[in-house]
Amino acid sequence: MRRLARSAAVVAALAACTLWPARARALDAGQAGGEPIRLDVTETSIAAQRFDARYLEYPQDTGWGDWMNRLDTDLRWGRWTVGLRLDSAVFWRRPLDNPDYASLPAAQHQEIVQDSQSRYGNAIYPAKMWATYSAPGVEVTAGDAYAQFGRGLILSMRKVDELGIDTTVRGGKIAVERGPFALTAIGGIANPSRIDEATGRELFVTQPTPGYTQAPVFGSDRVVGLDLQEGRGLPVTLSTHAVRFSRCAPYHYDANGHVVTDWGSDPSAVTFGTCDASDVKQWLQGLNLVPRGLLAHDITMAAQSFEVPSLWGHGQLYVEAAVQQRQSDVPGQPRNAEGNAIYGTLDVDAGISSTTVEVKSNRNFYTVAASVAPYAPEFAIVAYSFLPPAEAFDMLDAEGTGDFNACVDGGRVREDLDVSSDLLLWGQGVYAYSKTEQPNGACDQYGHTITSAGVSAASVQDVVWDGIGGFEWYFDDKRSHVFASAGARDDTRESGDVGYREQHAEYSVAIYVKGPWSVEIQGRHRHREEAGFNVDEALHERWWSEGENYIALRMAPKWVFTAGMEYTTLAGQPPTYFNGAVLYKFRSDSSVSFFLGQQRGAFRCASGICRFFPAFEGGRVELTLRF
Amino acid sequence: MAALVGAPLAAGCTAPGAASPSGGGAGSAGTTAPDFTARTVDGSNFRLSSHLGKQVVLLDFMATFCEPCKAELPQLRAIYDRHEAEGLLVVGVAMDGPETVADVPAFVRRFELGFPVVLDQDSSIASRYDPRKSMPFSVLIDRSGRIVREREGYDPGDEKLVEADVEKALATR
Repeated sequence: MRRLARSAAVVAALAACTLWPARARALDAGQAGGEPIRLDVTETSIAAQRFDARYLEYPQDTGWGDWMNRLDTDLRWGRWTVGLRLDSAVFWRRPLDNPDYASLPAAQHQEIVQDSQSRYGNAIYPAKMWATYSAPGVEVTAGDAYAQFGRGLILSMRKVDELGIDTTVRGGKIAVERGPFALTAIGGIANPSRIDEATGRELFVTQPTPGYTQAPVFGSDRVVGLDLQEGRGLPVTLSTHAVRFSRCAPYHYDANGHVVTDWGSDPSAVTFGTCDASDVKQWLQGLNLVPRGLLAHDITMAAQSFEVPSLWGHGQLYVEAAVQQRQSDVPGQPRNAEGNAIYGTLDVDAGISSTTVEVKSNRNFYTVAASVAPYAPEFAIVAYSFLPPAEAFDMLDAEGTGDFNACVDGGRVREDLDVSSDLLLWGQGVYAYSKTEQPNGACDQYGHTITSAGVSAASVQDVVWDGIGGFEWYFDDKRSHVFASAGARDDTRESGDVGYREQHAEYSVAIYVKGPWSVEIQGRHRHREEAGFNVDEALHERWWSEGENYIALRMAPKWVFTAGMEYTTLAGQPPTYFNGAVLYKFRSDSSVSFFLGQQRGAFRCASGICRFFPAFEGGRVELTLRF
Repeated sequence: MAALVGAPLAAGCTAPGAASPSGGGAGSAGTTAPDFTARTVDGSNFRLSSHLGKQVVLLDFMATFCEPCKAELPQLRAIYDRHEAEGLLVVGVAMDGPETVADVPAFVRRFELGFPVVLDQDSSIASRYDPRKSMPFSVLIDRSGRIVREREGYDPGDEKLVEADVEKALATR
């Protein structure tokens, strides 16, 4: 309790510190050439203090505190916009500074020292910067730009804030539209966010540490791409796109195999990286084997999409086919590997019924993962392309973030029935047959299964069935609602071994009470079984349960008070977690929130991408200001 | 991150989900709305600047997987129905990425959204208006093309504040 009170005081102090320096003002910078000049500012500031480790928690994930700041500035003048996002991070009470450090066993000292090389480094850097000229039919950007071609099979560099992903191309982007035609060209170096707020992990070169040489964490990934659309606004739209990714080394390696990080010695390579063949080979050899496409130095892809945006006013059709070639010089990797993918969606409505069908059929076609060293696993989810999963959105985490979709055939059917304007019934079925969910499974460009020596094909071929159904009911003039759903999933290998099983139920109930008051309860329960998880003393995998329940009291428009309870029966984790939060909106667009308590570590998904978040126990304050 | 290490109900989808006061500051009030061109769900092209100066525009950033957005949309549609004839245009900006964009057409039909809904799969529109990428997030633009209100999140009862802002913008010539 004393620990809680002490940490609460720290959080309160942090809140005060966080609020004070943010007293900025919107700037009306006058006029130039008859056009006003305006400066917009969005300031996001997060300060968190984690409590010390409790039962089975790692000392390197607990006890530390951080203040992360994002300052977005946007200067607009006529058709011009110049922007800068400055990110910074300050850490304190790091594991190495923790008073408990000295009492830890020597093996943990070593682990913490190693782990800290790419974590907890105070930093400030220009995360994004750009200048854009925008006129009717033309937009030219120099600097950072987001980009996606088609449904992302060959290029998808975007922002997924929930997971801390924000990847742009830092270079140039030109988009031109003329009637039914549109052309987009892009080229530059990939620029993901460099600091992971959940763990303090960073993509900068490792910090100088006695006994260790500095090592790069993130490569210099280059991309050029072109997209041509024909038929925009017409009954049929075609889109042809091509992309080439080249993985270069982030630094030169000297004769001793050490990277040269001194800007004065090698300004070009330190700024942009180097594509020197020996440097690239040395850099790529240190990367992980999974995802498999990571070891290719060049990846070339092309795709063609065909879209009918209106099927006689009752639906739409989208089909995209893509090919991929990966070239690698890394020993043990094929010099040239080829793959292909097809993705399609059909949407049809008739009366109260809406049907959505998604299909996927991929053969040796891998997402292009960012070149991230193995000691920064939190960034393994950063990728420059995306294979639409055609999955149950809530169940994406069951697939993990591996190569599930690289060799897969499957699809999804969802049926929505609008029984009345207040009641929707819905159901969804998913089927997938993957040859790459298991790490030793692969396939060739024709879909033939490939396994390691001594491994049977049946043991790497997974058959997945997933079903879910639910309803959405609105009442009280649509100001209150009940959303509920339940489903099950079965992932079994053809050898008969269970890969994954789950039953789950979710609910969300919002009741408008009176005046500004409303109450909401929300929760989820999952019953799970997974190969290699929750193994008992007899080495049997056992089912476990986990979930969360939250209640919120809302006083529109300013206050939200929340209390939550999470739980898990997974072996090796604390069984219960309690937390509370207060959110205060001091303007329609700006707010401050306080969180105090515990949340369990979990594999969580957002926007089709999944990652593991360590358990959180501590206090957190978040400020959002918009000017 | 906010939604994952904050309390879900307080956080809405990706950001705090509480409503907003009618008084106080007005965010980027007075700033000219950045122009954009995007494809609508039905395949046509939408250019914001074609409507600025003629209509009051309410941009609503949402997604099919965002529960507060589902709570807000019936109210937003009702506001649009009541004020369309006076010159209000609501524009939905679907922030669904390639993993859920296939669900957008059915989503639009379910809520009987009579206004344009544009796709923002690569988050380029959202990044211009809201670097935080919150959902729901609305931007009210008056007839002169200036942003008069930004609003993050939705709580039952907020619709009255939204409608008051819309009526005020419509009354200003």
